[in-house]
Amino acid sequence: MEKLFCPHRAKPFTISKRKVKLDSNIKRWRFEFDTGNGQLTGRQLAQLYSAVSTFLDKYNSGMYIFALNMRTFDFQDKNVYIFLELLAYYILKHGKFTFEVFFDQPAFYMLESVGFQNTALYRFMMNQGILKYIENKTDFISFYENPQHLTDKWYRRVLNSDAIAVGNISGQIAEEVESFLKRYDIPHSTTVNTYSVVLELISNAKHNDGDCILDIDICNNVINMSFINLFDGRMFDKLGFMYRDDKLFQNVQEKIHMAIGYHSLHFGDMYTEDDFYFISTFQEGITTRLEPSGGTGLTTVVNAIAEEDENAYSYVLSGNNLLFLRKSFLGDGGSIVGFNKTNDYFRDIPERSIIDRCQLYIPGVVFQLVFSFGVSDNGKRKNYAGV
Amino acid sequence: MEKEKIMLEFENKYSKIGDFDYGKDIYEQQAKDRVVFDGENIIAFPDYVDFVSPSFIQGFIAVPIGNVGKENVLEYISFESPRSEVVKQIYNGLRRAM
Repeated sequence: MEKLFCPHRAKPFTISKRKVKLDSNIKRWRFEFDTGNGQLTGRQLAQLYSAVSTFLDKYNSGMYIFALNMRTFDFQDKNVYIFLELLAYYILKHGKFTFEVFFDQPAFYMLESVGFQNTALYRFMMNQGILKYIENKTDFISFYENPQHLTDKWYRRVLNSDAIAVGNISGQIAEEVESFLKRYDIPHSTTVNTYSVVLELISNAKHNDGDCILDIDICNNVINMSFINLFDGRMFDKLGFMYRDDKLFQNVQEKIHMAIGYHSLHFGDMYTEDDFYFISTFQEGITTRLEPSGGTGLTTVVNAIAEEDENAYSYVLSGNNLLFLRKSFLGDGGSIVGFNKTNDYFRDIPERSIIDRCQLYIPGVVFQLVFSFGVSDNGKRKNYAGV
Repeated sequence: MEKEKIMLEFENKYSKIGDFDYGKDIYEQQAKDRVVFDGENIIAFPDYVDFVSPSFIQGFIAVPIGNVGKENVLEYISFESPRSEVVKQIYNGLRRAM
């Protein structure tokens, strides 16, 4: 988790004198981070992490207060509030300065934000009244570190690298997810898709080594899932390393070798070699395992999302690299995924619109996945917006 | 020709069986010493298992593939379950491993 707070990776953030002012009542320095009137975005979150990194580095003493001012509980997506909560946890665990969070009004009707009310951050702010103020560090930390949370609309699992190495942990969690989803009238195929994806993501995490958070909430006939696996590096680094190494090259199979020639002609600022290795990790049979039989886990994830609505907001994020999973570019559930209209991995590059950058560097990988269920009045499956 | 039926058992009677490393471990613990490569081996899953992930089956089969090769492994090893959907999952996982 420490790797999220690396000042050298984030853009330099200067604590301006204008924003630092003396609180005359308690004789302490107060820094206010204002998110403005709109929703908290990934870009703002990156600035926030950068500011907190600077604070931890230079102002980590009881003389200072770090105040986060937000207008509403409105987040760009589920991962934004999960990483905001993680930031609060890290500060409360390691910071010596006071951390305050202020919200004016809740806005809980959006799918992206509704799950925020499940978080430790929300619960412990609410306990303090209208102006929210995290005083009880111990309770917050204890709640956050609880390995399992289960309510009618929320399931969360927090697993450290030791817990994830144990026996059939992926099967056990798949059982828990099935049990959670049984509370709803969800088609069997959607339930199987969801827990089989969870199982493969945890299986992959075992291979990566690192801490994990699985967070699932249900809103508007949508299963909204976030899976975070924090580890040193990015999910595609090892593949690139193995391809470039003469001794390990044979383990990476021929598929990369067949594709990279064409793809390299298009490498530039918008589509890089990293992006190429990123999409390559989703191809069946491409694996960094040394055994000859691996390399299908992430294909399972893509195939499950390929059955979803075109507008389903699903993506994978690793380092600063962002890859949107959109049905029309995921093919028909086969072993090769082009991430383009032609579904051709070998002779076509990914669609421009599905590759993006995130300002917050994520050590490891984050999956944001949605699975819709339910039927609308016209007999079609409900879409992402629940209509 | 020798015939060996190996009935697998899983801790806590889990209904979902997952992940590559676990597959390798189960092969090591329950099958490795009983599999004969001059005969027929039937690997049987218990009734309480209703989902076997592709990753598990690929981990389970990794050592036998190392011994006899991808092209020959299914001549020696077959899988069964009282549940038809589980048999389908297993052979789907195997197909993707080959």
